[in-house]
Amino acid sequence: MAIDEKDVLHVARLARLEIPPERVDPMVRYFQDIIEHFRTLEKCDTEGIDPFEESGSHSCPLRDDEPEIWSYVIDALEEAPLREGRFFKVPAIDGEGDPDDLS
Amino acid sequence: MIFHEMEASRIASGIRDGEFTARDVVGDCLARMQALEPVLNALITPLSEKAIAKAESIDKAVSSGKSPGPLGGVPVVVKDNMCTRGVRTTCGSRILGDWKPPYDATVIELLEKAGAVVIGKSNMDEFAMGSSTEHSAFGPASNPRDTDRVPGGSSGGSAASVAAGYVPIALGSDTGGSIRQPAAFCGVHGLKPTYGLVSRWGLVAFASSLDQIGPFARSVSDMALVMDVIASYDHKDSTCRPGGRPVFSESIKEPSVKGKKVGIVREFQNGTLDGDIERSIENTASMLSSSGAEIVDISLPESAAYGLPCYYIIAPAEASSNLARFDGVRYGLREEAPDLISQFLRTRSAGFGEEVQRRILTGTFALSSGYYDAYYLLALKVRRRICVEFTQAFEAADVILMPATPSLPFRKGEFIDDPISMYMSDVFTLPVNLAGLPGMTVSTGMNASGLPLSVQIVAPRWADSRLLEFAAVIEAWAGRPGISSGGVL
Amino acid sequence: MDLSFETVIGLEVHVQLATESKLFCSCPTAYIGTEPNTNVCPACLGLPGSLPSLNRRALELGVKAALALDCSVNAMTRFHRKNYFYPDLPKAFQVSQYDIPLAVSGSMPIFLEGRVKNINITRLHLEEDAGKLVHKTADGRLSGASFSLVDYNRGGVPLAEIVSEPELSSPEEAREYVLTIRRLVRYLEVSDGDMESGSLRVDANISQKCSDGRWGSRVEIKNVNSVRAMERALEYEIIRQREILLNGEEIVQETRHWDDGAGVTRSSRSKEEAHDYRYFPEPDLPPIKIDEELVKYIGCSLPELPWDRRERYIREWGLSQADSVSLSENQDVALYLEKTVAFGADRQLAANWVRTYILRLQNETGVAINDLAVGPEDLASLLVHVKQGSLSSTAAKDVLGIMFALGVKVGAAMEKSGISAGGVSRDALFETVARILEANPAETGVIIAGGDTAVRKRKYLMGLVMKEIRGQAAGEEVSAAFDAVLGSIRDRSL
Ligand SMILES: [Zn+2]
Repeated sequence: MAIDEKDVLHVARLARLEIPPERVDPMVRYFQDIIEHFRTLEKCDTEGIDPFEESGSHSCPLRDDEPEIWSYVIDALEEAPLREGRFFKVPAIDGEGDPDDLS
Repeated sequence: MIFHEMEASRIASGIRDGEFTARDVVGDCLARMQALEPVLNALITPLSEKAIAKAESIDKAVSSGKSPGPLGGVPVVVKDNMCTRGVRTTCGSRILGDWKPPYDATVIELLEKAGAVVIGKSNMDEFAMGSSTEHSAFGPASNPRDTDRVPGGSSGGSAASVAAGYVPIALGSDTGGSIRQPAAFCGVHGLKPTYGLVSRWGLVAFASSLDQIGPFARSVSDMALVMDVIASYDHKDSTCRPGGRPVFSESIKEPSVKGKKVGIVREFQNGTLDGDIERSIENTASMLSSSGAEIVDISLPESAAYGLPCYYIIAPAEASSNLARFDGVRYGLREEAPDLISQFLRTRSAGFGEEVQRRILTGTFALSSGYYDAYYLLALKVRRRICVEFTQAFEAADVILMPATPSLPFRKGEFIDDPISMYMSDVFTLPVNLAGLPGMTVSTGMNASGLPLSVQIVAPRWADSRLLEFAAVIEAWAGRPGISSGGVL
Repeated sequence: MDLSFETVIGLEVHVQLATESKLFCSCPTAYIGTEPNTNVCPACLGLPGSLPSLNRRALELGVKAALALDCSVNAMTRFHRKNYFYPDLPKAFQVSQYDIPLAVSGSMPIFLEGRVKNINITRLHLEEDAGKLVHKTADGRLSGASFSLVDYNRGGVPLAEIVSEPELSSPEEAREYVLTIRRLVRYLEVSDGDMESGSLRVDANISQKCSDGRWGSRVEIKNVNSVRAMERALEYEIIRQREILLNGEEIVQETRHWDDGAGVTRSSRSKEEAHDYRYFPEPDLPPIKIDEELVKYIGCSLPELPWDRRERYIREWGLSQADSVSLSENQDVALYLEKTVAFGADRQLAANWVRTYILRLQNETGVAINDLAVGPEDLASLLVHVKQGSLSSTAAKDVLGIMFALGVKVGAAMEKSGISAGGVSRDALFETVARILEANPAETGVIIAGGDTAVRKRKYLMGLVMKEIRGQAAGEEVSAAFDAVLGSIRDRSL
């Protein structure tokens, strides 16, 4: 399976990254090289292995349902690159072909 | 007095006993830092004023009869991927801009409570992705043992700070070797604790299932001192193991390796290993043997063959998700754009460096529809096999002795255009992260050309104190590492 | 050619769990009427370095709902990350469940037109809610807005997603299914189940099976904000899909949004890329071992479920379907009713009175049923009088009013109203009527002879009776007593 420019650009789109035209070829080569390395794993005998069998790990700790107000909200808001009052502000959704995720 | 050569334990007791002041210690270390920083670039953000204020408050506490804490007045450096409230935290990246976290990482809280004085936030490969500290948006750091060479990475700035004598101890983070490899390159000790021993709350994640915070020091007793401070259960990190922690400083009081089995791994020494490093391993093994340990051969064929590709699937996959939140909405860099998707694309493309983008892309690919089973799931299965392989190895050995790095510190620029060769630098360290084990680089002196030598010791999960005990024995033989100024002073 | 169609509907119901704090952090869950971005912290703002810690109560409420839906709770469950970019999702992934949900394979009965239908439940899983976007245009349209504002107060509020098998065959069934789930979660106090405020949300999948063997593609409908909207959206889709199939065309598998104003579903804009959520196990949360004892404990402490209770009211108590539904949907109401009966009230009478008066008083006063001044014991003693006939229902209603207003027991309330027990008993009423008729033989005679065509005389005599009993009986009761006594006088005179 050869990775080509189309695949790399598709992945970049998923990751919300833009690859400038002059970087596309080197990135495709990098992908081809690294995937070659990945494929050495196919030689490993993983028959019957449960990847999630975790003997060493503890069960997830559970927290009591006690609400707490965090005291540094204003400091967090002040870090926003763009704000309106207490809201974070973003450009219009237009152009974002993802209205499915509106709740 | 030359405080910057002192051990942390000596500094803390001197301040506690009123022999000297924290102000004097911190002043001396800051002067050292200011003199060397133009060459080493080990720090992204020096915190001189804050440090002096903190030192004075420690002195005030001492003079009013209060205990200044186990690290009272000890200058420390922390890697710039640990959140410090109100103090810029960059992860070596442009994308965080001037972000001042509104909260402290748990390790920062613990250090502060113990009286430590944070004098700076150290340089690092962007988001801890790299092995040379050349991939930093704030310029590369240099190795104080030879400034033409890299300090290793990604915690290169922390390792260099300790080797150069800015501080006796520093914190780094280790995802695939990012503490142990720079410790080896800079000639200091570096410990990656068992996954889950130290809280990750406030550590900006690279690969959540692999990241662990640990210390650098120039002595094993300082290592134990700082571990006693930072290793504690934290309910804010669900992967942090509940329950108590050993007292590490107790475990090194009368260190002995008598009757212990030391496993030597043969697979990794396949001709690519530097000769000096190989001899260092052999010498260490014979010393341990003459100290009463039994040397056994062990085999880790799958870790050797598959560790690297396994890691380079899992770590980028997790990173691609962890780094998706940098979108210019809530903090950090935001590139102006007419619509939302353009804002995301422009901000992320401008904010992340090339290596980070490469890893986000490979990680996204490994998780994407159609490739998940072939890459990510397969890597998880291989990871499981590597865990089992280590468990079996520890049936025959109490600790494993192996190299930390295949080579001596390389020159700046040597691998900058060859990322995959750079990845090889982590070949001995990353299987330890995959298995969640504790691993430690112990400095064993210098070679003929003055470059640092070291060994790596690895123990079963939660046997971190056993590592310190072995390290204490090795240190007693090889000597404690000193400081270097990289020829500047 | 005559084609017939079968509608196949599956529902995903998202229920906000009634916890005090969020699913993965300790922030309060309040977000309605709260200033934007006040109940937030590093974790639910997705600040770098923050980590999730799981709320025990959310897990327990999830188990409670799952057991009520007859699901099997998995002994081990885990969370996954669902990755996508959207400003209301601060980490750019939603922590949800994927391959090992909290619970699977349940079922729930729905009652429709006197029939019971069991709907199988595929799974119940936990996930975190997203934040809220406010768009800048005044009319709330997405297009044309130049900016959107983001509030993360809702981000991280725990949700249970309940997924049904595609077994609902009409909008009415879908409606009944949603209402039954809503009653259930309210009854169990797992959620307030309020659809208008968004604490219960529904996505519907709908397709058509054609009698010629064709099976139309599945369409997902989003943005239905009320039960009525869901019904209308489904009705619209059925017609739309059938028309397409009748024209011999293919139905596009897609997500469509309900436009409530226009009454139509609209296709989402064509996407530049298909969704690829890149699910993978959340490395910041170890797998969760669900304690068997905890599941047993929650199972044992589950109250009688509304549909079981409803069945019992119909079968054992002989109540009507309508009474059974309204009295079984709230646990406090059902317990009030059952206590009233336990204190000696007649079942049907108690059902009528609780449904008619007690629920009304609860609604009017806004006081919870358990805190009403009149408890089940008080109501029972009042209803005993009614049953025995020592108090007419009209008088009893007045007495109940006084009990509420003054917070007194039946005896005191009757005294207060001037009604003494027995004063308006059936016997007393008959006696009074007979006395009045005897005392007014002329008028009585005319009535018996059928000469009181304008009922003026009857009204006059009834007025006298009313005056005598100080209005402590309803007109129809007095009238009935009148007829009975007149009848017996007529019999005697024959
Ligand atoms: Zn929160």
